[in-house]
Amino acid sequence: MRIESYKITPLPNNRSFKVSKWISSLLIRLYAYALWFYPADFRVKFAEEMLDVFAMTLREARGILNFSTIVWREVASLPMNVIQARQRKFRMPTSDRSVWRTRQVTRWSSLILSLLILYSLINPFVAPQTFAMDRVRLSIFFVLLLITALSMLLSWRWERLGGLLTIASGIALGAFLIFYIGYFRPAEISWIGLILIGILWALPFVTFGVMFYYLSQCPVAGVHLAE
Amino acid sequence: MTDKQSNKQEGQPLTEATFFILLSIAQKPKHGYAILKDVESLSGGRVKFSTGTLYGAISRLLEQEWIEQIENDQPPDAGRPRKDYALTDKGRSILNAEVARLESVLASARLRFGKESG
Repeated sequence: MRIESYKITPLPNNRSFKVSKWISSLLIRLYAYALWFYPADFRVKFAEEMLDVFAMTLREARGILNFSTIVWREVASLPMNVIQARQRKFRMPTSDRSVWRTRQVTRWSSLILSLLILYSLINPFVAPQTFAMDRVRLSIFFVLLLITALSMLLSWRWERLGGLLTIASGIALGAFLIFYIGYFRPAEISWIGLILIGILWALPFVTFGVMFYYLSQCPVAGVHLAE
Repeated sequence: MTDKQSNKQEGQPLTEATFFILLSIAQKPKHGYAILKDVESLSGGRVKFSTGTLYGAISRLLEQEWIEQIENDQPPDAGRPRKDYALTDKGRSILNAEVARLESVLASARLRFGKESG
């Protein structure tokens, strides 16, 4: 469930104790955001129910003291509940844990690579005179590099789509380099070296793309819907 | 209150929170809010869960397969289907074992107090 899409049921007026609907709605909204501290799979399973129960508990509050106690109880127990939920995640079955670890490693290492690429695009690593000489042709290379970096970032949210885009843009990048160097600088490098350069450039992106695609097929991949 | 994770092995004394949750759904399946209210009532108002604590405990009990989630046939509130939680055979046997253990403890205490007062 997307927490933002949770519909707040209007609280009925209570004769003995009338809490502002605005305050109740605000508290439920804040509680919805507090649920983001829980692990994603926990949220997928329970967030909607928890919001319902919290809303019902507020609705049943008798008096301002009871209302405040309910809110305080939730706030005070939140850190320990979150820690316990996260501890349980580390005790999950080995297969789930390995998928979770693979996802984390893939995500963070691809993020580092993406940021490095984006940084290099802001500060071009090629010599300025080379860039000026081949501005049009190299701009294709930089656009492909940008698409690859953005595809990897996209994979955090949409693993399958991002993974496929990363694979495609990685292959396009390698192919472009083979074509570019082979066509415009034929004397500088042998064909074997050329293909090797293309493969080396494409390899990390294809690897990340395949990893993201593989992760999207894993049973716990549905978790990313809640993130 | 927070749910202390003392149930490292089955058959060990259950935490009060776990015991009351299992007891609450022993007769018939209940949804989260009903469990929350029932535990409060069963414990005479002593054990009051926060929503997070309740669902933390439910999550753990589901993992341990002591309880199971079942679909509620009742018409849903607020347009959302409600999920009930029911005791599994494993959960029931653990609850029975815990009740037997508590009875034994109580019997020992009564025996001792009975001797002292007699």
